[in-house]
Amino acid sequence: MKTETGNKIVAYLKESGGKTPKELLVYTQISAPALFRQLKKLMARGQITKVGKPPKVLYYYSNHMEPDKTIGNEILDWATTDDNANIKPELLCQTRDVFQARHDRLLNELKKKFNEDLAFTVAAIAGEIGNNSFDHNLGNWRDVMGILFLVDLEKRKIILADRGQGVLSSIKRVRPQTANHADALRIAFTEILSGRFPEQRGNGLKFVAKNIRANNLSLKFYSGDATCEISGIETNFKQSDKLVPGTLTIINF
Amino acid sequence: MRIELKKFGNNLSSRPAGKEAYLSARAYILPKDKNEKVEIDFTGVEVLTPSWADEFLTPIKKEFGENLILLPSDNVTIKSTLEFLEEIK
Repeated sequence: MKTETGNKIVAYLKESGGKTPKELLVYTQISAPALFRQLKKLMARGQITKVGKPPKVLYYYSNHMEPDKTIGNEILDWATTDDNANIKPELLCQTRDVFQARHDRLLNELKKKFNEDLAFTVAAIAGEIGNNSFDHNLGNWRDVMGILFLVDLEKRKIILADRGQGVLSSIKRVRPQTANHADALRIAFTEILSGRFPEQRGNGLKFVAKNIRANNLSLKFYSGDATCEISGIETNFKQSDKLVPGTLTIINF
Repeated sequence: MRIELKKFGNNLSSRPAGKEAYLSARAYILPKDKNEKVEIDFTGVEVLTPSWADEFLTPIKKEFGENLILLPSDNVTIKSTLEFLEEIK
């Protein structure tokens, strides 16, 4: 019986998009404590995702548990080795104009599928990260000009990558004593950089982190041999076994 | 005077676009008298990022100081961006 209720909730969310707890109560006709027990189990299994914080909470179908061996792997290869054998040309935004046009389209697609708060927030996060790549690397790309921008709204995932100079290189311009990639990520995601060098750049990732946490989303950011992972309210900086000379960002929402 | 930001677009996200918008506003929209009040109306804007806002609002704030008035908005990205710009000042 309980499994049936769980399956019913998953099927309903898959078909109808985001729903509030109140809407789920009306649909399932079970008590609030029983509903929240179900939701907790489904989230633990990765079948649904909770977005937002009270009083604005929505539950969405999530297919993170489904086989997902290929999505993003070709971008990871490109970000680490410049291997573009499997890269579809339409994923590459060589100039900011192309990225802006695709970003406008992303916003329109997000609005069709999700509530406005989530659509606008995810678009702002992706816009800040994509534009950051151009702001910090224009005329100074390592080899390939521009960024890769993959959007998969079914899997609720956005991946952005560049073959630029990486975060350490940018941070060293304002904090020359920065020792390594992990320190650079920690500064970029947590410390406010003041002064104009020559402009007040370098604070965009803190805006990204703040909005990822505030909306219960998740993000994995690679640069050099370090990663920053934000999931819910937790932020972890780690050494990575991959070396990403520029940056690679994976947003799950 | 009131500036309707939606006239610059509904998706305001990059630094160059913010800078271009500011230069255009300075040339054709903003009053010459720095004692005049300037109201920024966010109605119709869907996405605002700190990069765009920093290029557009920060120089206007420097020029007009307390005469710059940001009208309230319920949009999550506008609220978050304006709070963030306050934090990093």
